[in-house]
Amino acid sequence: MITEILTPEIDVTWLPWAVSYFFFIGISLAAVLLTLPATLFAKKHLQGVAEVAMIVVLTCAIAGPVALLADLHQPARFWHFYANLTPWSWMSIGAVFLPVYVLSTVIYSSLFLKNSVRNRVREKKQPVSPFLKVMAIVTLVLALIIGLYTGSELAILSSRSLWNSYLLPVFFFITALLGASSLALLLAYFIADDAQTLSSLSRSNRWSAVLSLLVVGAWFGIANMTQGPEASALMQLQDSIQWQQNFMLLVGLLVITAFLSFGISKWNLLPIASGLLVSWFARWMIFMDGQTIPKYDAGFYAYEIPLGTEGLLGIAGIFGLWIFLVIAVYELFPWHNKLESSTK
Amino acid sequence: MDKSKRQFIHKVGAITVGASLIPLSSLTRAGINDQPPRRNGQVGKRWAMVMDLHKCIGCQACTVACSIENQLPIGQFRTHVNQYEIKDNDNPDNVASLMLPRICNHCENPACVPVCPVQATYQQKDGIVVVDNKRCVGCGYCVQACPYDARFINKQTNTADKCTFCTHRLEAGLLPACVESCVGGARIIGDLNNPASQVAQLLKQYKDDIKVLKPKSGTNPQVFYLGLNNAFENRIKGQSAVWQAKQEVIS
Repeated sequence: MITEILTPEIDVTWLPWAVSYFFFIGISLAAVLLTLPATLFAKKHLQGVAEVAMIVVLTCAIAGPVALLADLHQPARFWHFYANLTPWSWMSIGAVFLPVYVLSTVIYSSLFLKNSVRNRVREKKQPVSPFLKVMAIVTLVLALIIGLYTGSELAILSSRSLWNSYLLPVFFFITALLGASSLALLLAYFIADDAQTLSSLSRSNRWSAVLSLLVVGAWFGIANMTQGPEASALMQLQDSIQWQQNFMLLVGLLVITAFLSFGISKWNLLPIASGLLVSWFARWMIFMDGQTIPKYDAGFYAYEIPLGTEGLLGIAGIFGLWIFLVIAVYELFPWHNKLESSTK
Repeated sequence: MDKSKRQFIHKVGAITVGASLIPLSSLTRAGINDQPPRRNGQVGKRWAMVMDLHKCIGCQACTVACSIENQLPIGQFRTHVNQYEIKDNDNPDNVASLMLPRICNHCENPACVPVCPVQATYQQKDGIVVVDNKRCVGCGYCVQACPYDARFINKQTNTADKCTFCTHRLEAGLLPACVESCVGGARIIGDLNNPASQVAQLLKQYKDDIKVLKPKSGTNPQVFYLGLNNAFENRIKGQSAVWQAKQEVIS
């Protein structure tokens, strides 16, 4: 029996800013998929979905990188990424593509929302322009690259067996799609409010929750049947009460979201709340709780969320920024106001 | 425009495009997560350390000497000595203690180097892994990648920090602060490329007993342990004293 008498306490390195970044950027890139039926395949009945999803794409694409910048311990040195390009580092690859993705979402969503406002005001509807289609494809490709880099960045780290899994990028993507559907639903309640949009988005909510459950199940299956990093992660965590609770909460929230999203009705915010919560919690569990697993020492390190900018205030701040961005975009492209005034 | 001028412009264009690709091709020599070329340091040497656990008494003189030499913030360490109590399950009265000096392993295949997005952390030609803290952005990616928890974000500089084998002292012909201060002579540093060095001799003499931490991690550590029990090679399976203490305080 070994007992540690003297070992140092290791602090977490990636702060809750990282959770915010992965939450918002994941939601943004997943929401790009929700816009494609209307922009790329001219599915007119999904125009409402694309409108709210486009707001999600744009606002989250801006809020996410702000959180990422804040997670650097030397944020003023961000230009070092570009002065020292390092193609063998996933993070450097991400640093190159991230601003291009943000720029692409700005162009893509501006074009679409401007067109959307115009169509609401005029009787004669303009078809989707070829340039918008090109921007849809460009943004989709960039979104896939961002998804690949954010997932691979963690999945390659053999030092942390919980992260060291090919399923991690898939899990991030599917739970991001759940978060994107929930966030789009939230906006749809307030600004779109049409039955078709609500039912399409709740379908997306339901299926992404089901798929997330399948990915979690696949992870447990791999962990039990192979000798890979998943197995060592499970071995490390299975006796921990906190981690048992974590896994139960994750699965429980996913099941609740899937069930509640079946009969979605107006002012039923529960599936939205649980969808957003599980999308956030999945990242919190992997990042913050994941960093409390020692790489060599026994037991677990302690982490308590601080109240200041390195903790709760930072999280509140980034959500505040997102709300501000939603208001700003809504005011810039007020298609619903125009609709009301044009019908009076 | 006459033909010769047009040809000249074509050629200049081709040369310019070609020249602009040269630095890119040199950058892409390493695939994703491959080790980049080593730079700086002492050419021809390969620094390594042997920890003779029979001689370590856990006095933490190395911890203090390192903190003073490298001016570390209070509570953050580039090296320290872990202390363990080992109880025989069959005979609880049979108790032993182990002192385990910990330090960066200056691995032959360091996981922390290829992940650095700005090449601030790199391996010298003498094998020592260092951080250029004027270039480091403090992203913490290397801290996550290190399988030994040997790196940290320095609270004062807000950049990645780690043991450098006191490369500044080695280059001046001095021993690292931890080696210099070790009262039992448990830490031995030397050049593996020199067969006459004490480190090379020890590795040869105790070939079958020498161990490294996490030997299967693929990092090929260059800090070698003499007298290390198998139970300490990988992650400790046992009671966390720190954790227990915290739980007691909470309850």
